[in-house]
Amino acid sequence: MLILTRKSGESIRIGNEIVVHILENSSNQMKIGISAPREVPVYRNEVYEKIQAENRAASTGASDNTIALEGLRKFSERHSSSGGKS
Amino acid sequence: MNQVAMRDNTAEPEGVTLKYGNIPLQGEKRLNLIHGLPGFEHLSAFVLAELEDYAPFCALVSEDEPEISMLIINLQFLSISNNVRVPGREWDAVVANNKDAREIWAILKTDHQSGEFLANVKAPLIVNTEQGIAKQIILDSEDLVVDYPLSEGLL
Repeated sequence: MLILTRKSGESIRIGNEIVVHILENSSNQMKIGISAPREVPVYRNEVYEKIQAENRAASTGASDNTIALEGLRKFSERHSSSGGKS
Repeated sequence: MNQVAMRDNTAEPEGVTLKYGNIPLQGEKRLNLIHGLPGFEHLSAFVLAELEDYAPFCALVSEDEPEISMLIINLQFLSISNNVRVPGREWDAVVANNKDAREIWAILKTDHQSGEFLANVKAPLIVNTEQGIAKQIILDSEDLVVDYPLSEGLL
């Protein structure tokens, strides 16, 4: 991990197109601005890691889960009986 | 212009009968997930297909690793869809200039104890159906959660 020390008003460049700006710095938090091309996604890391975990949970075991498959059938029947769109 | 790899999403996947568990899939559409899928960043080639006899549920299946598959549902079937606002820059990322070609899907997981289906409306999948380009986005709204119960909001 590259470790740098920056002050408010200073910035860090990553590659050719990404710049991290230190906007405000207080004792327990820092305001950061990120300049990046629109196609580069930027996330709070803890949120991204949560989504990773959710996707992994969604991809495992459900296809073998008979309770889940029975639930599928019930929802599908309810959807059909209510005249739902397909 | 954002250069996004275009895949031929009209051709049927060859030589593989796709299933979700024991449920056959039909109406397969190829999708290119730009940036992969969080948790599976190495996978970008997916198929979106209907579960035979289980409308409105569909499956998202990796073409390269078919064991990676998820249940998904179009947000049009959920009442919370009114609260899901996709920023324009995200539609730009999947080159979805045509509003009629925009779809929003939620990935589902199950509570294995109760069998309850939970939809991830915090991080929906946006799809450009014309070009088969998709992306999972993460929305800022605190009203949106990763475990929205289908029992509360299925239309």
